[in-house]
Amino acid sequence: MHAVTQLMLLLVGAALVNNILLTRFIALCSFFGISDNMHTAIGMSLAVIFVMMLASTATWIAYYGMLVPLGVGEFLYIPAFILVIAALVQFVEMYLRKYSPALYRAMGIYLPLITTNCAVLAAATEAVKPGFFKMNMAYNFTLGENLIYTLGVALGYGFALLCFTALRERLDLAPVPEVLKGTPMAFIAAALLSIGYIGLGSLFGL
Amino acid sequence: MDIALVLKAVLALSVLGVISVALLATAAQKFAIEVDPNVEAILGALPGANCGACGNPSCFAAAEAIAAGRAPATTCVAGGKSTAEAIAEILGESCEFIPLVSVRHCGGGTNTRREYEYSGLRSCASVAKLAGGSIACPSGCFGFGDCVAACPFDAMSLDERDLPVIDLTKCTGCAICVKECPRGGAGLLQVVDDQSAVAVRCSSREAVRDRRAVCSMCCIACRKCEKACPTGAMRLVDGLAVLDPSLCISCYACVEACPQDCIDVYGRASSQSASTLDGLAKSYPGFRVDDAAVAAASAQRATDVPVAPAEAGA
Amino acid sequence: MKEFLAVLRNGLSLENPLTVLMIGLCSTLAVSAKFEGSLFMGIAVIFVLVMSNVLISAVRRFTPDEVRIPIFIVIIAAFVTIVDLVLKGYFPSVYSFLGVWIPLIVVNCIVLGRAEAFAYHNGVVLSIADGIGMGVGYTIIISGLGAFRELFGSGKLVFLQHTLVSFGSAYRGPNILLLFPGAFLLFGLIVAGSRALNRRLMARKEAA
Repeated sequence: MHAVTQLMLLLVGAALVNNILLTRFIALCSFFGISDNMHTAIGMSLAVIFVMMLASTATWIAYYGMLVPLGVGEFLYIPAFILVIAALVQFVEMYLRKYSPALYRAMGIYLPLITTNCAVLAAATEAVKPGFFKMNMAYNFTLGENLIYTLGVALGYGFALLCFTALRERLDLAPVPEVLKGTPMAFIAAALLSIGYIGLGSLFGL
Repeated sequence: MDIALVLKAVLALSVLGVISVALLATAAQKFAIEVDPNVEAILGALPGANCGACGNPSCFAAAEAIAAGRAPATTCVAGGKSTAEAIAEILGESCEFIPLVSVRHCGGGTNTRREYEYSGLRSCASVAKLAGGSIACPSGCFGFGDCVAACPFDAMSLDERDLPVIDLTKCTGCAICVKECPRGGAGLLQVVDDQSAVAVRCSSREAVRDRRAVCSMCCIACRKCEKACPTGAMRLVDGLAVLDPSLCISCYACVEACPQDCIDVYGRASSQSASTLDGLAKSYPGFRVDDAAVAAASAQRATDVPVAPAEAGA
Repeated sequence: MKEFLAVLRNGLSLENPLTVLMIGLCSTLAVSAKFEGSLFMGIAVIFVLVMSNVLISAVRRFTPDEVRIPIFIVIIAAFVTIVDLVLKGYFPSVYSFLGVWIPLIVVNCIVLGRAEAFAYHNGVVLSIADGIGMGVGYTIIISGLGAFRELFGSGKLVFLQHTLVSFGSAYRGPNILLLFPGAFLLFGLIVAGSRALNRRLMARKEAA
């Protein structure tokens, strides 16, 4: 297969076919927490794209650069990845605060929130342990493939989050029965949205 | 027990830890920002609720704006007079804080005639987009409570006529409700001086004949309030009664005079006029003291302008 | 002893992490497609919760406030790694089903949340109670959900290659229950149901 086609399939697969939020249900806490307001949802999506790409690069380098040569990658990857992600996020936050106040105002407050976000850890882990991956391409990613994959995951996250936020903003104004008001209705709406995403399940024969 | 593996694991994690710590330490040094000492002080004076009523996204942003001179010391509407004075003291300047409150100029609510039956999204902004709104009056209140939801101080609620009621002890005059209201710009909701004593419950600029066709509570431009007002605070402007709060002495003559019950007692009510209110309530069965917190508000804001009950009866 | 039981009961009903506090949802909905998957997940969470609560509570006087979150995470990660390797070695089928959800127990809101809210401020014995209570509350809900979904979705309940209950091979249940949307729907209805129940109980308490 042509290299570019392969990368495109990787991107589309990560973003739509195996959408991290609605197909694999990772990072739901933030999904239901941030989605009441379009403004915060956009800020969160931007922050997630940014952090995910940086984090997965750093963890890939840490994994193949140090953990695997020392032979400890098998069991040490969990604490090592979290350490790397936490340090990186804090570093980026300080950098943004000083050199890009505009960007900091847009997404700075979400950065500490994303340190423990399941999505970031999941994307970082899967890039180096593709056994967890349900896609057909089960092999170890190179750094470039890692970047494309993570970009796909982050874009998928943002897309699903924004769709859901738009739904929730409308639901806030609708005459919902008292027992279902709020979270139960959001769950049911998420279920329907998720059914829609199943339709994307066999895109390009993936 | 493979000691070598354990040592390698410890080594790997230690190296990562050391790199992280070194990275963060250098970042803390190189990316340190100069913080204006005033900002810290002003931040301390602010309530810290991050309500957004002042237009800034957070109290910290507001503190930065004030310290940089981009915003006045009276920026924080939530904190009120005490906060403004504290900030002015930090900056070493004087300030004049004028307390403001919001008032609703509509008395129709569910009594107003509807052009069509609306069963869409329960939002004033939504219904306003459908052929100019379901209410026959072009400046009437829809009653879905967009303003109530938007108020950051929880100062508003809807009464039985689906009209917003403003709790004057909590309202800070931040004008977010005016921005949210699709008819706020047209005068349905207005931010006025806290010294307002009465509220005219109509903001329609239509011809009187049209007004009466759609709403029974409208101002009919009969000029009775204008004639009854001893100080000239109540005037008719473009066929609608308008109050000038600076001239009002809260004698409530206009409240009694209005044949439509279109004027309500609103805010400033001195301890002297409490008896006036009782008297008015006894004399006029339809007399309504709107906004239940008037009593609490009057306890907080005593006025030194005497009310003359004898004039009120005239 | 009484306090121990009170904290235990708290996690089971009053402050059930899933239906009341609404934390730890990600893993619930994803792994409850199969009964055995959800049961093992629940047991794993109980283990990690109790052990990490104990350790965090034991060292709480020595942990500086600023770096407490990374310290919590490292402690929790250690126990999650144990779970990861044990499952990989002894229950490979369950391990392949749970997949990426095992390392995600580290950032599971329940574990981190209880460490921050309870273990950091209370003694070791009470932290054990809290860990058990919250963990068992979580396990009951998630395995109940898993059993319901698997039984009515596929017609049989399987545990480690042993078929426990079967409706027969001709059974064709609603497939939606096996997929993720079914979990969302079911969970939303469970929350609505528990809310209605709570409301009735509150009304009865007030009337009494």
